[in-house]
Amino acid sequence: MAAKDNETKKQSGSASGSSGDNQEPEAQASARTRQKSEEIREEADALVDQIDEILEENAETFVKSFIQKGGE
Amino acid sequence: MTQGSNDRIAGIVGTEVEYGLSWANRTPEDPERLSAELIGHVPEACHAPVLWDYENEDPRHDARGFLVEGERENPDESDNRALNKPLFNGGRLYVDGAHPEYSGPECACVRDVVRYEKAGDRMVAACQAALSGLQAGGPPLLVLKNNSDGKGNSWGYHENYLLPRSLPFDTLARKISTHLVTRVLFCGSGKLGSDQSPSDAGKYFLSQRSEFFEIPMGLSTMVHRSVVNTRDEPHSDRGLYRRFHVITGDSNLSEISTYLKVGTTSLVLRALESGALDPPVFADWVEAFRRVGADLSLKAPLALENGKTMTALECQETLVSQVRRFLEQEGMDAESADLLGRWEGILDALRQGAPSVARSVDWAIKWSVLSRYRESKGWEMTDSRLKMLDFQYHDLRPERSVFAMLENTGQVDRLIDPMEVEEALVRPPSETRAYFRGEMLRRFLSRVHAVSWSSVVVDPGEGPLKRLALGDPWKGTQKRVGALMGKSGSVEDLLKALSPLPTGE
Repeated sequence: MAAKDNETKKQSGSASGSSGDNQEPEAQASARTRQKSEEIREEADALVDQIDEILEENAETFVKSFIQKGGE
Repeated sequence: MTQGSNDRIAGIVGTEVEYGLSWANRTPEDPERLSAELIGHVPEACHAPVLWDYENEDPRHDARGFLVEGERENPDESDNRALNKPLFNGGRLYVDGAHPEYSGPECACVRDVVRYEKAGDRMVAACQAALSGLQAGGPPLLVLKNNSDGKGNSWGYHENYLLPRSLPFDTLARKISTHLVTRVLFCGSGKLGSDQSPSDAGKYFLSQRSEFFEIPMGLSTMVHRSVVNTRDEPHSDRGLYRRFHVITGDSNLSEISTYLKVGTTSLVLRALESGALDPPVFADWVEAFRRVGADLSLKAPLALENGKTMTALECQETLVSQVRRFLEQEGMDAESADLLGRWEGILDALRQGAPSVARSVDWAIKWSVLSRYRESKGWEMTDSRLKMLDFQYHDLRPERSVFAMLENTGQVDRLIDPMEVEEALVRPPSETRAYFRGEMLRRFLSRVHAVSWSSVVVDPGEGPLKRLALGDPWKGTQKRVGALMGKSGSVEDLLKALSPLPTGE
């Protein structure tokens, strides 16, 4: 993560030329946002895999036919 | 106060869980028989094979002072055994109409309520596994810890709080109604799709149960459900106590949701009992409950009696601040302090839409999973695979349960060490009469004929059976009878030593 941030800083520095130090936090922030959204995407992918593994295949039949008598 | 010599603030609480059943992907033709078959597989280590004592059971009393018509239940011995599985932990696994049901033992702290409820889930899961094993390769058996089938049928989750008879019921009903309506924010289990309105098939609800409520107060639990239930069957000394029977709750998978559901209600009741609670009251309790249960925005304005409106969150903030003031004056035990902190914390998190809610509150955990899964698949919200995911969140099969998967992969918060649940499978809690009931079964099983919430019927060796009354839920604790039971080598010794305990007869 640290290495990635440094790299982003350098790129942003060269692209923005002499526009000054206040560009760096912005660049860092956008890198962090990218990083964060990648993590979220990875987590979501993992979750989808986990659910795919356990979800019953006959969902439509089950959902239609699952009728209970009331209880209590 | 109802605590007697005990200094626990929570009071005495127990919960009842009914489970949904599906066999071969369809509704069982005879759900009562299937339920009986299922509980017949209760692990031997948990089950004390004695009768259930129906002598003191009578659910026809209404707290408003009348008796309704109806038959008292009293099955013959063979049915009694088939329908009831008294448990060494002081609880009861049984068949209630079309569903298997677990009633945990009476507990004097909220963590214990959570622990014993988890133990019940585990017993029922063991039954499911055993029965499925016998039918290996056959049709699947599903047991769901939820409360609605998506077709307009609901089954229950009930809480029981011991209160002093001296508290007038109408005061209790009026002042507790606001909490019962708005606590859904942190203890609703969530569901995809309405049970009553086909046009809301893809809508997400916070509460499984709120759609099923029709009247503000009433006795029935199966039709015309009421926000405040008036069943008056104290299972204890009727002159001293009432058992406040709460039927608005959802069954929770999240330990945090169960802890908050029962814990905040206990604290609100303590404040109410002491006259320290003055909550806003809704103009229409039923309308408010239905709105809160269907409001994912958490911002619906709810009409109050005084003509103003408040949101559910604002009502909860008022309640928690009144309870805090009460506890700061009265003093609080460690558990109450923990509950109060978590209660305030969850309200903050809900207000801010903090991600922590999706790790601790059932409706939010499920909603987060459903939304992410749907987004990735690009399905419509009405896709039956998403409703299947909803059902499987509540599935008791460890390998198919969405909640268990989230728990095992660290995606939800826990409260209880699984080892503590192991203990709750076979031992009663120590601080209520459940201790006496459970220990009698553990130590003198061959001499116990039957048990109930308020009795243990023993065979004294000579003469007729003897019914020991457990009229006071605060008696029969380990502190009161533990040493005595330990010293008694036989039932005869114990009966001599006990007289006039627990309450004498």
